[in-house]
Amino acid sequence: MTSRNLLIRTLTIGFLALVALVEVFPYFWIATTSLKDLAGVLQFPPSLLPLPPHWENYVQAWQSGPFPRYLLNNVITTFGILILQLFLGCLAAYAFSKLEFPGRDLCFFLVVACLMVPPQIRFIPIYIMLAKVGLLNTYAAIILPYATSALGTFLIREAFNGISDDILDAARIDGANVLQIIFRILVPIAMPTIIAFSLFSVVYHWNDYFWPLVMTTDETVRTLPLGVALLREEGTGSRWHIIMAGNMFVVVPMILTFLAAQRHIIRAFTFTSLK
Amino acid sequence: MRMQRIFILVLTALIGVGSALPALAGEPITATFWYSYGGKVRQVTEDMVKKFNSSQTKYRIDGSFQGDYFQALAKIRAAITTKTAPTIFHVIGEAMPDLWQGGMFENLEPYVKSTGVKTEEFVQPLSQHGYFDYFGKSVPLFAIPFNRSMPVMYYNKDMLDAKGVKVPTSWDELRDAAAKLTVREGNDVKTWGFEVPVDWWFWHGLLYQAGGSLLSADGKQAAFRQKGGEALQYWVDMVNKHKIMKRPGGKDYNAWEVTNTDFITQKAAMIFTSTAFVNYLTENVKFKMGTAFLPKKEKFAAPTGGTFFVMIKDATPAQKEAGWAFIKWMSEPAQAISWSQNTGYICTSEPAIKSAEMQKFYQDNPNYLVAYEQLKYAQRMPFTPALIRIQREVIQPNLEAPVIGLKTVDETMAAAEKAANDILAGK
Amino acid sequence: MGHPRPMRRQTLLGYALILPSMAFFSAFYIYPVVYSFYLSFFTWDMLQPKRFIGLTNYRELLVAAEFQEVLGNTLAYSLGVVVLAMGIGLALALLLNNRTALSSLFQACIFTSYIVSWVAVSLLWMWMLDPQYGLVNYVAGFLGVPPVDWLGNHRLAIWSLVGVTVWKVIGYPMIIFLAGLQNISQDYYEAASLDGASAWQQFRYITWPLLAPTTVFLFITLTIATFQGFDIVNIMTQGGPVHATSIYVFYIYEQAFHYFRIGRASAAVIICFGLILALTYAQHRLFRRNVHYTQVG
Repeated sequence: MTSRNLLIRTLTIGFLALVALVEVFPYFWIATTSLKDLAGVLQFPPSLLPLPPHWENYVQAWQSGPFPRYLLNNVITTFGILILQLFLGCLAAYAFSKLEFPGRDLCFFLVVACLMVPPQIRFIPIYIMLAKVGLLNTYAAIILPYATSALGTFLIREAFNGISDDILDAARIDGANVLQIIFRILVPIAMPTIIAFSLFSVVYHWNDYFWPLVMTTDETVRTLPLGVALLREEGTGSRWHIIMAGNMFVVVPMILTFLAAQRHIIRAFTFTSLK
Repeated sequence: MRMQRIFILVLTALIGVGSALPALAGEPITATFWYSYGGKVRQVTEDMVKKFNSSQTKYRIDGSFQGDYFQALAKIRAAITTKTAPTIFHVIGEAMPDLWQGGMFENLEPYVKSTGVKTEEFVQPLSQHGYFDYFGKSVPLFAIPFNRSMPVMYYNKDMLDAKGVKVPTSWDELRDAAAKLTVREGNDVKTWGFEVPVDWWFWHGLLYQAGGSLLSADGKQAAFRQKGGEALQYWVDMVNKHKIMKRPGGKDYNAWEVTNTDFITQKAAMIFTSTAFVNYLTENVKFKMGTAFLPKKEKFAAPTGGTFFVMIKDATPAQKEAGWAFIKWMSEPAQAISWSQNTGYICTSEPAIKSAEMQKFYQDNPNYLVAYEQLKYAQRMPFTPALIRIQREVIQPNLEAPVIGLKTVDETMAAAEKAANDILAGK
Repeated sequence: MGHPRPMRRQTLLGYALILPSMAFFSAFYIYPVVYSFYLSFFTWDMLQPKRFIGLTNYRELLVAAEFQEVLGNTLAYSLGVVVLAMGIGLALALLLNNRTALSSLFQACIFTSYIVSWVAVSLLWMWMLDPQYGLVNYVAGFLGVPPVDWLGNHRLAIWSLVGVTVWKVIGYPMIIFLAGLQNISQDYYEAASLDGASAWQQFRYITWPLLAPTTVFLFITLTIATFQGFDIVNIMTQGGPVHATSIYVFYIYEQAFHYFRIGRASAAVIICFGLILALTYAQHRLFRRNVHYTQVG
């Protein structure tokens, strides 16, 4: 290896290390802040390590609300939403991509239009609608309005578009029914797109604060981000250390899940399709 | 035939008795209470709700957090249109005229009469009738004070003593004191003499200190242009000309947080903020802290703030009965004392304040007393539905521009006056 | 095409498959938009009865300097984030496109910021960007840079938010680009090397064109995500200083929740909706021509 190559190599690694550090340092900060006391939090210049660590912050955060229930609700709503989005999205994507029927393009256009409607706009009419049928403050109120994803449908359709019809015809000749075609043949090939979208959806809904807040009126189906918001006190320099401890409850399950799933995700991504 | 009729009669009687049974059997009547606090205040609130519930078996209150103030209010409005609203919640004074006119609130006078509550025992400037200027109209009682506060000046006594600065009592003295207390190291400001959130509440205080008023005497026209401009110019000069005041970044509560934090970390020597934080600041400052009235210009003046309990008109009579029981209980001297001591909000009950317990408490914690004493300079808010819009749309968003140099004070106040008059005229 | 299918069966099947989706979309997306369209002709605060005012909301919005500023801010924010996130994301993916343990570590580090909620991140960055004692100015001080009011300077604020957003989401384009890169067969590069192509030429003629579907995917995803940006503004700057960071969704939220001008908020929704539909249509026609798909089979 020439010395010039070595220099480039070193600089590259240095640059990457810097980026990685900048990305990860704030997490480190959240973690260490969660172990300080308020005096330590307000100190400037800030100290790097919390010594001694105040583990009681976690206890205090945990006891400030029904966190086990929040965690359970988070899991139920996030994955409930994901499953519905993927299932309904694949069905619709197949129809939009592989079938021809009158009104198909109009319907797809309507789906795309839904991409631009953020929750702050949907809230009031949906609140009124769900209240009228008595579904307010239930899992349904959090899950159903997100059961379909315009983004997911759009992206999966794009992925299906890229799959040649020959495979489908072969499968039909073999006697496969629609569901088998979609989920046994198309989905595995489109897996990278599906995984990419799933990542997006899970992260978004796991951390969603606004929708669970406005659709619930008490703690029964509330989720973790709301629990953390409860720790915040408007106006006071707050008890940052407790809030950060609360934030750790939201962050850690996600990070653990991703670490565990990382291998599968990467494998699914680098799935080289049949040639 | 006859048997059938008897059977139906008996069944109806049983159903009638059966539905009355829960009340007879002692199942509590429940009512919901929506609030917008997080953190410590929420904990105190929840503790008091629990205490109320366990102190008697007739009623049960279910409290729940509904997001910040704006989100809660939006949910309540949506809930009212679908008849799923809570029984009681709390609301800032400025929003009350508009909501009252919209028919949201229950008139509380019948409840006061039937349960013998002595409304004259409320600290008058903190009560609804003491908070508003009705311009001669007759407005019934619909709100009971909950967490009420005043802006006060907090100062770092150690810093003032070290520089031989006296506690300022006027605008000029504040400016001079801030100049003496500001510490610079090259281009860096190590300590700011003064800091205050650039916020409606404090501006209101300054407006009246300068001898001005928000609206005309009949409440129909904006009257704040000139004196409001003086108030704003005072800030603008301190920030930009003398460079002795820090403008805390962020809007709404972010700025308040920054101000408090700066005070605790000794980056600001004197601040204006709510008496509601006296608990928080006392617990966390590592220096001698004092509180004082907001300095005067022509006179001492300050608004009151915080929220009132209100009851939703649409709730059932049983729910309202339960809700009122809770509100009444919260206003009793024992609870008023507990609430005030634990949160720093001003005690709302005169008998409580005069009690030996509170008197001793104030002796040991003189900083808590200043807000109460400043109440004699409390300024009333005009009772008009336009008030909330004037606060949130006309004044609050526009105070910042002159302070950061985007507009002149005159431009800002002229535009604000026009906007306020438009709103008052019903546009 | 192979075996032809009876037209009617396809129609029935097609509708059956899209029915559940369309039902949900109609109820939970289209209906609110239609309702907003209806509301945009009224003035309503959710308390008093609605008052019909025709096109007043639209007229007021279109001449309002604030609304124009909001549109400009949204465009700047979106463009800034998309361009930077994709550019840096691609660079990182190219540099980390190997199977070393170090790369995996870096990838994991960079991706963590994507996973965490905006609430935690926004609070943190508010501290870090504090002009007086934020970490960023502290570090900048060592480099001889005078303290900057990152969030309080009305020209700089929106770009500070762009920076924080890029910081947070960068892991996502990085991962997606990595997947795209790893799907390009090494054979192409080997052949090109044998032909004497430089690294830059290989990128320009092999990597970039074959990444096109990935690039489009990311462009769409990121544009949509940034256009719906809300939390970061709501927590860090609340649209300030003086509307400098007020972006589309925040502006609507502010009109509806802070000012209870539901009619005006609805009109703003419809205006932006119309703009984006027009933009999407234009983008759609543009991209159809330039994308190469690697067909399977």
